[in-house]
Amino acid sequence: MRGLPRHDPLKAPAQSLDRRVLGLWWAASAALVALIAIGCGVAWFLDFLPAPLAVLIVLVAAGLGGLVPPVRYRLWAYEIRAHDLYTSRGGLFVTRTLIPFDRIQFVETRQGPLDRAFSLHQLVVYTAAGQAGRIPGLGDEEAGSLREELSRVAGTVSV
Amino acid sequence: MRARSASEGARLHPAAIAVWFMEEGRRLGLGLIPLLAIGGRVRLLLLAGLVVAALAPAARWLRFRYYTTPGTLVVEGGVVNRWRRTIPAARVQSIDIVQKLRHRAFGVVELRIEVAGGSGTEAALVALAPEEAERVRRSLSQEGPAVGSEAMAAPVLVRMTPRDLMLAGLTGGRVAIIAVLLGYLQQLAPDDFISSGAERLVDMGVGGVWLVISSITGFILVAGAIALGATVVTLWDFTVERSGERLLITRGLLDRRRSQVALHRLQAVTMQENVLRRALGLASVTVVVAGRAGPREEQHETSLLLPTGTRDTALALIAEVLGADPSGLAENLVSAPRAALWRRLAYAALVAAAAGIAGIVGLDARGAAAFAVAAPAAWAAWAAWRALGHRIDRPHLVVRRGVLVRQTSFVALPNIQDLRLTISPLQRAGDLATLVLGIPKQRLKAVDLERAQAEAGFEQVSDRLSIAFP
Repeated sequence: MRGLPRHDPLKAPAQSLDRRVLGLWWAASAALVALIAIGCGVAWFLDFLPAPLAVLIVLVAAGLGGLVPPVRYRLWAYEIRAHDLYTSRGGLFVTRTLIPFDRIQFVETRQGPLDRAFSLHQLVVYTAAGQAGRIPGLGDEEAGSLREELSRVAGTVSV
Repeated sequence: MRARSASEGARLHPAAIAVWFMEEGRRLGLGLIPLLAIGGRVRLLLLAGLVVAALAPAARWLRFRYYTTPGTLVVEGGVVNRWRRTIPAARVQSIDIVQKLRHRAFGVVELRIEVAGGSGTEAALVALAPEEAERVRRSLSQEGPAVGSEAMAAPVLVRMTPRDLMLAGLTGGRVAIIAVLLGYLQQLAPDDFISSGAERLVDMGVGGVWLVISSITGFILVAGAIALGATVVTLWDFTVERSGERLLITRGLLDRRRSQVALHRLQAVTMQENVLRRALGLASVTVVVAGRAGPREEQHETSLLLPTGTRDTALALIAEVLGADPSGLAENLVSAPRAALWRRLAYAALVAAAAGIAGIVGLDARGAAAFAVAAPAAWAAWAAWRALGHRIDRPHLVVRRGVLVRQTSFVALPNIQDLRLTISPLQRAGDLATLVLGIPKQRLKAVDLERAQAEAGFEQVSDRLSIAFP
């Protein structure tokens, strides 16, 4: 098979993130849009920006802030395979990451203030090369079991 | 084995007191000596401080003990807080024997042991008699005592003569960059730029011209001489020997250093060719070793495996340390597809357009001359594209890139920690992708592969990774 010039596109990982991460991302977008709105308001007040342009900028930002999280959610995926952890994210900038179990040094779960508000966790995997992978938006149980599972197989060849 | 008590361990050579005093004292004491001139009670206080600074190393020496057992080195010390550290030989990344001027004054050496993951040197035995340092090194390397002549057992891979080192200094790093930049400037600057500048200087009189020319030339000469001198002194008598599955690297005129690294601790080997060296058919070789700590510059020096040599010498050395077949090691790399050139040309066009527009807006129509940036930008794009190459189907993965310094990196499969595939919007347009190989301390990028090839490579390498360790 190796000699064939054509190759099927890489299969995406199977698991998607916890749906609540959408809320988290929307909250983050809303905060960013609010900041942009304040900035535009100040610029309009100081006569740097005509009112219609300021409104347009805020509307575009709000539109993007509303539309990007669902797309991002659809494109984020991870999977624990037989020998490795496989993640895939991004549409514009695609990144696929592969971490073999026997290279994992340690695994940690993290929770920032926003994560806590939505009771979500981030899972971070380290290899000897440093931080190798991160999965955001995992529920309590999922994050805990993933951490345990990956810690158990860390340094071994397969599940 | 029963635990030993501290008193069974050996002390360092008493010269350690002087070495510590000089190291710490330089920070604490010497800066204060001028203050002694102030006089009065301040002088008394400072004197007391100096005495303490001298006594502290003595106390440290009294407490410091070390001993070796088969397979470990145990070091303990601490005046106020006692500590004890056990270093398993199996975890040792590298062992350095360092002899700085202060060690030479007492005829002792310093033994430094590096372990992966720690910050800084894990164990520094700052003053040992040379024979004792050799004994500890052997014990940690799990070698038997020396039998017969050691030189016989250690084939020399690299030996730099002073002439080689001069060449390395002249073609390496700073000197080369200065020379290349001067060459570029000469080509880039329009003729009237120099002549009109010269006219203005002529108004200042002939003396002005000579002043500028001689000061620039002088500056370059002095900078070059310093760079050259530093290279020759730090790399004096640079030698690489292979002793079994280890490399021994010796170098230095004033500060002598002998480093030992196990071959299987090499994470990656890189052949570096800067513009000047490439034109002369020369290259240098560096290695990545996990757990090396220390100042950036020192780290760079300790990772050096060949200061300079012909390309063939460099490749033969790389093949030797990788245990690979030297023929075609860096040959037949897969070059980047044409789309990668277009991507780079697109960036070059963007840069030129921005420069031209800025020129017109900032000056007037004459500012449009800034569009001429397109020519060197396009050349740089082409050169960057030509430099790209990779090979991921061999036992050692090869990645090549870089215009000013062309870097060809070789990494063995077991050293790859994680794998990434990234696609940016412009790469998608050209059906390109980048493969990123994670190794300790570094991520090697195979930039702009054909997307289908990159995806196939991603799967192939992942399959090979999972069977690399049975």
